[in-house]
Amino acid sequence: MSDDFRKYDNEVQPDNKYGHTLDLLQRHLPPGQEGVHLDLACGFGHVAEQIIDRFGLHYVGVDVAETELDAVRARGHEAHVLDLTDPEVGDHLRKVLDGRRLASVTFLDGLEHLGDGSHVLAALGDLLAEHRAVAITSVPNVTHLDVGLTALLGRWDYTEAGLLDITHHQLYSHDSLRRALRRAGLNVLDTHDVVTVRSDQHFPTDHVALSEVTAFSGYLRAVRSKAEPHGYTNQFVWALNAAPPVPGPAYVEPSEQSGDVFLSVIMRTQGRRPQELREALLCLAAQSVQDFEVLIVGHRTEVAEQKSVEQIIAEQPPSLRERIRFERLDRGQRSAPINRGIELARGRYVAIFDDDDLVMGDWVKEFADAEREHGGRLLRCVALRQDAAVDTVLGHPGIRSTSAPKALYNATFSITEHLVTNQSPPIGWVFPRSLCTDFGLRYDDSMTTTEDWEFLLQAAELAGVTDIDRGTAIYRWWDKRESSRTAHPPGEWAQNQREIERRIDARPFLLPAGETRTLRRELSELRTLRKRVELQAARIERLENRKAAQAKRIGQLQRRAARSAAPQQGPERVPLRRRLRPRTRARALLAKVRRG
Amino acid sequence: MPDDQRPSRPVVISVQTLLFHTPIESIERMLDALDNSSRIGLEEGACRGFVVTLGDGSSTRVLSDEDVEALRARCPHVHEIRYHWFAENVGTARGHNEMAALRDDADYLIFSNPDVVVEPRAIWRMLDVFDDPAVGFVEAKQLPIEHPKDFSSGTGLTSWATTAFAMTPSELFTRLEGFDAQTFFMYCDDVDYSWRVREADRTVVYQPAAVVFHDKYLTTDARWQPTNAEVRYSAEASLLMAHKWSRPRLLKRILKMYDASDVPAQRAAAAEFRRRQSKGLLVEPRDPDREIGTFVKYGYAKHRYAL
Repeated sequence: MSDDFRKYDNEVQPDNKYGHTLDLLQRHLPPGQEGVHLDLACGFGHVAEQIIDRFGLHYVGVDVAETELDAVRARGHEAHVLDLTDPEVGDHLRKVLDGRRLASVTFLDGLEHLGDGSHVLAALGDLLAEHRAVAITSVPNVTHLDVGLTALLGRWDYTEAGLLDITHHQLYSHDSLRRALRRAGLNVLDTHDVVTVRSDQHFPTDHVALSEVTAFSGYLRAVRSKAEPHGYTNQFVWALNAAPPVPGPAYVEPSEQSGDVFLSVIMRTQGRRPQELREALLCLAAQSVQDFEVLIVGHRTEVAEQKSVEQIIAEQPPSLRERIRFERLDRGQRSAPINRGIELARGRYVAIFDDDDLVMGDWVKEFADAEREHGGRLLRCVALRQDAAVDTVLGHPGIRSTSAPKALYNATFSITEHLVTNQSPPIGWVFPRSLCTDFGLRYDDSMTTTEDWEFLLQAAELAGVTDIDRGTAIYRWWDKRESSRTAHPPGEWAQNQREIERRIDARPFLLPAGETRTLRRELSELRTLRKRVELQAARIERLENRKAAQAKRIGQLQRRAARSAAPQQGPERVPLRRRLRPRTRARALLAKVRRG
Repeated sequence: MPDDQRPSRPVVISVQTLLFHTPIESIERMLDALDNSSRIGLEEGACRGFVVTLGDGSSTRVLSDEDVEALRARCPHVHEIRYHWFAENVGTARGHNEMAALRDDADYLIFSNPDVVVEPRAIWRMLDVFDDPAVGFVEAKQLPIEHPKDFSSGTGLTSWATTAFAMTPSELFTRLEGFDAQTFFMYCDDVDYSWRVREADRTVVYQPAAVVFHDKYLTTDARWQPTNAEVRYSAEASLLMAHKWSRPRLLKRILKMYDASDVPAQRAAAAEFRRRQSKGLLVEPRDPDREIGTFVKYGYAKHRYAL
């Protein structure tokens, strides 16, 4: 028997597609079920014995390869030759069943080998519907990181078997497989994918892009893990049942990829600031470019607050009102309504417009103009800050500005400066929705503050930022009223900042072109300043030593001067004889006498 | 305090605006918002008539007859849209006086800039202020750049109201003979009218809950950038205000400042004032006891902040 013949002859293991298939059947096949188990593209029929032993079903193998079917038959199982690409495959399968009840189907690593798998999938959908049966399919994931990383660098190596098996005709990602199944009337009931960090495409093993520890690979793996969770999925192993088919082509229409509207304005509100909401909507009604939709997400609103928001929306001019959608959300923290708005958005770009922000009449226009040349990048204008307070006049609560608008935020964006402090209020920038749909970015709802800062850093890193030299937004700073600034203590803000820093430090960070110039300049300045500080410190030390020495000398001189100036007050001069005690004097006298 | 009765609701509202080479898109935005306001007023029984007068001070017509018909069709809740081409730049004071004279059945007049978009409730909140018969002139708050002049918290009382968007009873406007078109071309005609309203023992109220969007901009460093026309006519108006409201020493100081100014528009304003003075074209000064006029640092009210 040739090697080529045996290349698909793999054993049933708990952690391979066969093991996962049997687990799924165990989960979804009703106990005591009787009937036929149909194994499409059965090859050597590896699961035959397990199906019979564990589930008591009658195994029937179907394949186009007579040689492999002989091996199945040799083990005493029923097997039929059938071309699964045949448009009449449904009728052929019914003939195989010959009136017997179908309990379950396996279709493992067969679909990708077919030039046109639509007929067998449609037949499978029909059979599952007719028999209320369950099917398990397994399909290789062509978007595995090993394939993706090497393909990015221009490498595409077919192999004898595996993810890029030379005999594959159709290649599937998670989404494209789901689409193909939906078209055929197949619903994904459950999944038990085979996950492999290092697939059969992990070669050459010293490829820098494939190593898990290189910067290049680390960055791309981090981006991919946010974008889509199947980077390490080797095979999709899914349980299927019948569902109404979703009509559509087997391919994606390019027009499906972008929004018809330029901007989705997401406005989160709690319905507690109706006058501010009125002012915000007025700013939108007055925009010189009206190519936007408005998604108002009422977050944890009481019934009265919800009605208030609905009334304000109902009062808007029809041309604006028709473009407003109101959605209630009763779960999550501060970011939940933003994320819900992003899910509902249809625009190419997204703006986060809090219900107390203000914008100039060209706010949308400036962004729309910038999109023409810089589409895909973050678009950032200059946001001003203005202090404001609520002032009730004749029974109507109104807003009183208490300071002039101030230019407190950097007019030009620098990502390295933003690593230290946020210089971009959300009302001053818009981001491409693709960052959410294609890169999986979300506002982190676990963060109680600074969630916009974290999102901005991620978005700016991926997309880059185009500055618009116009002051088109006003971020209001409330006096004497609760806001996120006052509702959270400084310690909480600092804690969230540390969390942002931790996340940034956990992976490689991409800097835009030109940003290293800023870093060089800043580092050079820092070094110069440090050197200057060192020199100054040394000089200060010298001066202090000198000062101490001088102080000591001054002390000595002062003491000497004091001694010189003071009158002589030494002990009275007393002759030696008087100073001696009488006894000593007597002895001395006696000695003198004796000496004669 | 006046004891006359205010028109009972529903009332007739007349909005008038002076176009000057205004883009038609801007006119449409303004009218869409006014039509929507009228819808609310009619539905809630606040008004029984809502008319808009578009005065055009441009050298060539901004709107053709077809444009006007299209605008009328666009605004089903506005009972009448009248378009009047002056064929010359008549200035705001004369323009508004002539537009107000075009119809005499309105209970309230609203003066609006053509680049203004009104919030749906604004007009009706302004109308509420006239429940107090002492009120003679009401101003809406402008967005996104609020006028910095001060007002009393709670009552909204203020020195003057700007006609970017302001409302006054027609009867009072007629009685006070409208804006002083002899003195003012544009700028300060509204300050002057406000002070004459107060002379007539009525109050001027700023209602921050009534909001309009006025299409204004600041530089990226948050500075106000006036146009040359704004510099010229506001300079001229400052001299005329100091003269009319009996501030000879202030007038002398401003004239001296303008004469020495590097800004040609200010020097031109001083020359124009002297020309009028020499030809006897200035009106008689009023408010000799300085009970009404408020001059604070070359402004006409105390400001909350400098813009």
